[in-house]
Amino acid sequence: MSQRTIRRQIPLALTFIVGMIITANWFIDAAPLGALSNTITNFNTVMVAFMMGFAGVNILMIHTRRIQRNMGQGNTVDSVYSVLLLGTLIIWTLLGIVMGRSSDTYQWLYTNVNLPLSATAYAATLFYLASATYRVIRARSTETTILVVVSVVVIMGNMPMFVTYVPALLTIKSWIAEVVVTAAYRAITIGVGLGGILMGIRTLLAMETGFLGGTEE
Amino acid sequence: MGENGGIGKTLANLPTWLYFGLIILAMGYITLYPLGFPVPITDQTRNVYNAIEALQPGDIILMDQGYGAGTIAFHEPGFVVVFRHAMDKGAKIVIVSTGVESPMLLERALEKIQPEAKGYEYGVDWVHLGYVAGGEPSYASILGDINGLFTDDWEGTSTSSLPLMKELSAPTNEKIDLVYIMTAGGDVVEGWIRQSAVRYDHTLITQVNEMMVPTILPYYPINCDGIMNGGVGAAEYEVLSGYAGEAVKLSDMMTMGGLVVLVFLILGNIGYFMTKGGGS
Amino acid sequence: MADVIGLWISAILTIMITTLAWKETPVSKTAEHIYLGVMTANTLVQAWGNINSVGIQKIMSGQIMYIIPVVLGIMAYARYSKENFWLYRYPIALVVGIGVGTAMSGLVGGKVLDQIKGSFWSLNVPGDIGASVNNLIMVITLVSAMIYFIFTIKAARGPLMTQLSAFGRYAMMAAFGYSFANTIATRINQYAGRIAFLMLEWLQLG
Repeated sequence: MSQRTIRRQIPLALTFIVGMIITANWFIDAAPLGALSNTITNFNTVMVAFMMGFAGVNILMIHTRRIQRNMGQGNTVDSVYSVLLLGTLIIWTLLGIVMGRSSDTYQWLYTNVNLPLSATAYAATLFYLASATYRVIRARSTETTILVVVSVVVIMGNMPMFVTYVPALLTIKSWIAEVVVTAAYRAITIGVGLGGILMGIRTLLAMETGFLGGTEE
Repeated sequence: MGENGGIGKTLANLPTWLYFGLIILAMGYITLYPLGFPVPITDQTRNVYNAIEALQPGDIILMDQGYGAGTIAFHEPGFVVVFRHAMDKGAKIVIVSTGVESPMLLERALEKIQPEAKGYEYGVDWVHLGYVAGGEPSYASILGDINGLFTDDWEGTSTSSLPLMKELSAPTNEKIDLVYIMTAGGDVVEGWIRQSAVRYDHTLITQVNEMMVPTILPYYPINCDGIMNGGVGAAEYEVLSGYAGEAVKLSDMMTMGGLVVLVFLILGNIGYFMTKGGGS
Repeated sequence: MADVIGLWISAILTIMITTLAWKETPVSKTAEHIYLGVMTANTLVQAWGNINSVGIQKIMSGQIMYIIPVVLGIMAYARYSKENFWLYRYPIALVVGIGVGTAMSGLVGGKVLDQIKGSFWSLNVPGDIGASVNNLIMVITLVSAMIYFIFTIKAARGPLMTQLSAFGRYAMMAAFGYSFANTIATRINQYAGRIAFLMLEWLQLG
């Protein structure tokens, strides 16, 4: 068996085989096929869980290199941040694995460290959005004027204060959602669906092989 | 236009600290002195409410509690109020999590719901199975044979010892009466729509953050029977169910924050039109 | 006591990371790096939980075939080796095949057929002219938005098609305006939660 067969063609064949088993299970109601399909999707859970570890490995590699580079340049201040990150990563991971992810200790750590950081990091994007809204959203053309007008109406329709005094705002907002947005996004959804089906077929038939990565054949 | 260039230029170039500060001040003020405006109810939320209201005692809800800390402000009140409503109907609840942060957030929500205090027994009336990786194939696994995927629950108890899990023997999809998805990811809802509503014709309701609603609207009401529109939707549900909670309080803060952003959107455009074509 | 300490840690971290929106300072950089560390750690902990419960526990309970995904999962780390990179292709090929097979079947029904079926709106709803008009607008919007995305057929460049395409563009801008307004609502709600935490739980002002 050549190297190309082992390194490229067998993986592509496996993609086709498992993809067809799962697709066949959708259309054929047979208990053995269903059991096989369930087992394969369970296998997927384990494999994806392993691949979630790439995040940790990548961070370790990037920040270890950064520490080496910064120390080599005599820049200890920037190294401190990387050390802090790696230290937090390693200690937190060990605590979670050793104490258990459902333990009270890990729950306390999550609630008082992860949660405020995560919640606020997402929430702070409000300021970027407000800045963009103020500086960038301009009624420069017909299209952007429509965008601005609809945005204003819907923002007002989302606020109970305005809806209390102008109930028509809720009606207009609902009309925009159920008529204009539904129809426009449905067109996009159908297009995306057709594209997705074509990409799926191309992937299963080994016409799209980018996911294999690497440069050698 | 050139005469108004000065005012227009000022309006179009207000300092950043002004609107940042006004947003924080306005929302902070309302936190202490809420306005108490009534929350109007939309049909989308009413349909979510009706789906839970139609449940019979013993019906099983599969909940994907997949929200993260970023959207906890409105997903948690939505989850709490729906869980309470489901308990009122005597429905059984199976919770899985498709977000890495979700199982820890569930513990916070359960402290507010207190199912045991309401007579709901863990393992019999509700179970929490924890996080599952894998995305859409894992939804297919859950609906195919949930016991084949989960051998333990979140706390490590064997699922074979939980009576509710025995009711969900393969094919699990035939035992599920309602699927309820809470997530910030439109791809998660679409995945569940494909695997649950399209494949098995389940009744599916969802709470997503407001910005994902447009991507879910094409599925409503064909595959998705109701949409709770983020914090606004959670407030509407609290009003409908009679369980006053945090979402109603948030709706006032939404009003003030939105008002500041709206004012600056309009001011920015006024400044733009006053300076446009009038020279610098 | 632990609750009080936790509350103060939460409040301080909340304020530290909010400063990131203002400008990058040592305070915000510290919070940023801690954030990245703890979030990645949580991902790893959850991943280990799945590997343990769905993989290792099953093997130990006698389901030997679950050795296959565990071995394949370990093989995935060959991506970090130049010589053995090809080993990584086996698990990724399976994951892609499983993902494509699962999603594609549902795409046909959910994203195409059901959407098209659901778009046959009645243009003559008896006794309800409003619904009839709405349905007509929806049909025109749907068709014109789809025509907007046709770039390769010459007939789509004719005068009528160009007008429809323009209408589709305007309808999509209206939809994006709705989406933008909802994005603002989402972000405001997210930050409202943080302000409520700081003022009501931490400072206990309310």
